[in-house]
Amino acid sequence: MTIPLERRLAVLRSRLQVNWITVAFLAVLLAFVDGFWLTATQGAIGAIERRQSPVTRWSRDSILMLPLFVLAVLAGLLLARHWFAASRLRFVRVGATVLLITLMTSIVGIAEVAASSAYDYRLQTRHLEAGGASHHLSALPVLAGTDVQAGVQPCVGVCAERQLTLSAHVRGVALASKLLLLTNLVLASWVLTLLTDRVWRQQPTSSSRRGEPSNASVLEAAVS
Amino acid sequence: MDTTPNSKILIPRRALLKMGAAGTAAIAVGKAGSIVVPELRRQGLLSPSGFFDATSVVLANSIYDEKFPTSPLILSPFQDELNILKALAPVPDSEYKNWASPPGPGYGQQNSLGNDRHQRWRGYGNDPDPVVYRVKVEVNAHSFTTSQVLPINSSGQPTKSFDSTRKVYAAGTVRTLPPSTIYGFNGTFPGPMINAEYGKPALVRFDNHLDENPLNLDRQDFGSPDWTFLTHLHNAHTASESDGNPHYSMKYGPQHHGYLPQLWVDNLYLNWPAGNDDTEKQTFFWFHDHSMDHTGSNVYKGLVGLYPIYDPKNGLDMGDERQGYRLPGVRTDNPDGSFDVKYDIPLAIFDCRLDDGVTNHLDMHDGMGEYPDAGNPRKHPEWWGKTFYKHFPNHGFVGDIFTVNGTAYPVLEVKRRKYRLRFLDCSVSRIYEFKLMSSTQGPKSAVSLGYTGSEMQGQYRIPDGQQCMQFLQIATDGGLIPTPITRDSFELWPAKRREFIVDFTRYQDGTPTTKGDVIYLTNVMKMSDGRMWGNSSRFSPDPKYMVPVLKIVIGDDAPDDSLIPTKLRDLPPVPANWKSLMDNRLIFEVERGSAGGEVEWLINGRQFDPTQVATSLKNKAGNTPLAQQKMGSFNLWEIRNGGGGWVHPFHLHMEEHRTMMRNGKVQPPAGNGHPDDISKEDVVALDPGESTIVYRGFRDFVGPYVAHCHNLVHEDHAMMFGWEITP
Repeated sequence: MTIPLERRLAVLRSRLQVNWITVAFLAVLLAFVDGFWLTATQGAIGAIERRQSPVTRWSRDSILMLPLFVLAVLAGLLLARHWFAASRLRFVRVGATVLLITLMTSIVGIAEVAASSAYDYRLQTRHLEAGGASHHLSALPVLAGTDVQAGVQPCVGVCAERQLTLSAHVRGVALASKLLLLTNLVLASWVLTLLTDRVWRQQPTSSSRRGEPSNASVLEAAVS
Repeated sequence: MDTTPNSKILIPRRALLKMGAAGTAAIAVGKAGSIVVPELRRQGLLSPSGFFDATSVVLANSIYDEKFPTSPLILSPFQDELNILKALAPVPDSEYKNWASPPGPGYGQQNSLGNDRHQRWRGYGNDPDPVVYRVKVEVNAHSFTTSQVLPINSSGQPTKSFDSTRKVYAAGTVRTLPPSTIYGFNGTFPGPMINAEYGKPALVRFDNHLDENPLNLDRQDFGSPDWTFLTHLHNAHTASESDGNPHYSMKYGPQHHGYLPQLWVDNLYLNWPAGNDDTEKQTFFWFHDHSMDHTGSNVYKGLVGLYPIYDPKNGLDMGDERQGYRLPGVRTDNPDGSFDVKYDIPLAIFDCRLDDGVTNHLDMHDGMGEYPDAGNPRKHPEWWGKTFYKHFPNHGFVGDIFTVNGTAYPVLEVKRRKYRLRFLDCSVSRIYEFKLMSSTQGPKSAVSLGYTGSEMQGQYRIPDGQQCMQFLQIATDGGLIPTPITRDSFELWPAKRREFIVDFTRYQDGTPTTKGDVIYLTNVMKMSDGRMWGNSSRFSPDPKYMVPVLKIVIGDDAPDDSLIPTKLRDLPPVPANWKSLMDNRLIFEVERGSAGGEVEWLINGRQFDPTQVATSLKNKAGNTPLAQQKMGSFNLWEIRNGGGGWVHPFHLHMEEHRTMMRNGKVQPPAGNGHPDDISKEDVVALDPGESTIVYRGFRDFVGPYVAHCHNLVHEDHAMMFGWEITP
């Protein structure tokens, strides 16, 4: 049995009864803050080609990532409503909402940093390979003899540099991930504290029209 | 609603929560701003981009975690006498003419490979044949102090120590330091001093004996791994084959990073001024290693020598205070052909760090298989008390023991008269700011004053230090300045030279000195890592940071025929229309790269390629010219600091330059602008985010040269570019 398109849209609309201004505000805020960490991480360990004009790059990357952050905030809100709307404890409802938004947006942010680092690593290894010829990256020392076991290729020169670069990226992504999680948590908490009564809009459902509270309005009332 | 006056005003809990959140945010932003903004301003990062740069710096510090040892505390500082270098004797004609390969102007006579020649054998006019010196590059042992030491950790607490057999000594055991292994010119640190004179060319045969190790010393894990050397006389007016730069050496001559063991090279120093112009004469050079990728480790390992140069023309500056400019100095001509000048003392300042035996040795260069015998990464208790080096530290390399002429915290007894002091910073990365101070309590160890960590750098402080004398500056890198300048303090950046007259007969308030009085040459610039200073007189001075480096004790009276000069050497003229060169100037931006270690530091986004001549960034005329200049030409070069919270002492080989503009402003003459811009220089001191436009000439020689950061960690990791002079 197929559900009519109109009905499906109505269900979707009812599920998306959120205050879009609040969602947008959170998404923009977190996109730009996470973009800041992305840009700063690039500045610390990224390829030189991508390190010019950090402000421009930050603005561009944050705007490009904005749709994903809108989706992440929305997902966090809807999951919170789905799982915790019925909870009687306000702390649990608000806390869960904060945590879920933090989690969703941080996943997007961390993925962004990791992808950027991977791209940087690719550029840097090319750079290393190009530089290896003129510096002493490709040659073993002339006098200080190394006992190289037959068949075992030691990781020296460009290989060693690649490993160290990769290791720096791993540490960089790990550090950026912690910072992203922390700042997203603080900011989501702060925004939800300030805008707690606007997190979910009152749903104009038939039950509410009849004077019966809906799940969302129950949560809204509770959060308020 | 109850509106009676006594009723409580009820604020909804939600509103209270919101107000709290908003208030906390406002306070947090305000507080953070009050801390961050001054710090960003200090680092030259107070801009939107700078904020990102500053954050990147903090992140990088966390990502590249580095640990350095804490040197043992020298228990009896200021007991060892300052090593006042004697002039190296030349090789007698009768001797060098009988060498198997005597020096000469012909093809094949410039090095032992037989593949090069001197561009010019004589300077202008009828210069005599060069005075010949021989300097062997040797492995040797060097002690920085005779004092006993107390091994301490980064908290200042006594800690265990070791000996060469790895035997452990309990915390609190007072020890004697083992000598450090050095690579030295003639096996000494600093190496020999050649007293040179304009009009008398000098030829130095540098002879590599680094493969010989008669004392069977442990070479540790720094110094060029294939034992090459390449000597640069910084910053003489020298032909490229004698300049000792890797742009030349990788293409010609050794066609390698430097000269391998058992090879020799004759570096011919014509001792003539650029363009045969007397105003281009300089006063103080130094020679140091310049092997590609290992300059820092070789210099730190001891390859440093001094080369004061005098001007006998009309007796102006020939080391005789009775003639010419009447600068302090009493000359003695030695029977061996050398001469020494009393009361004229070069002071080579150098910082080092000694191994504590418990710090892990892990370096990019280990990963490259350069020091297999060291077996890194691992700790080296057997190297306890010997010099510790890290080739590629993320923050640059600074030591925590300050030395003068190879001795830690020496003492110098001076006569009651005027002296000429020639300062050289031969440190890897450290910048100093010096004052002359007195102290009634004398030096106290930083540990005893409660300092820990990087605050212990320098080991001693004079908590009650007061400035008591001034310096009268008479020369910079580029030689004598037109008019002497009185200074309370001066900054000394890596590779820079500064010369002063100090009158030890009286204090700055006019009070006469008396025999036995003590004055400390004191460093007041705190620089806990190789990035830049933390505190200095120019930026947020720390009145508690007063580290005595040299103890000066006033002795007996002595005759003094020197005079305080009022006028010295004029600057070479700069054409009035120099701005016509602005649009098509060459632009070079130094910046931090991001790939692994060897190519970490870049210029115009590129690592040093010794086979190429660099390309300028696009200039106002829309061109990206090659760094190629016609012999006899002049041009403007712009050197920019690309940021990142670093300072860069940027060195341009060949002729001295004049800073015409700094940060877009024309630099006024006579000391009203930046302290470095009063005269000719060969190192551009670039504060964070600064740019300078310098005017320079390209005369007398052709061939490949380099320009590079003289923070040697940066230089070794590709912050260098090749340029050349064409016929």
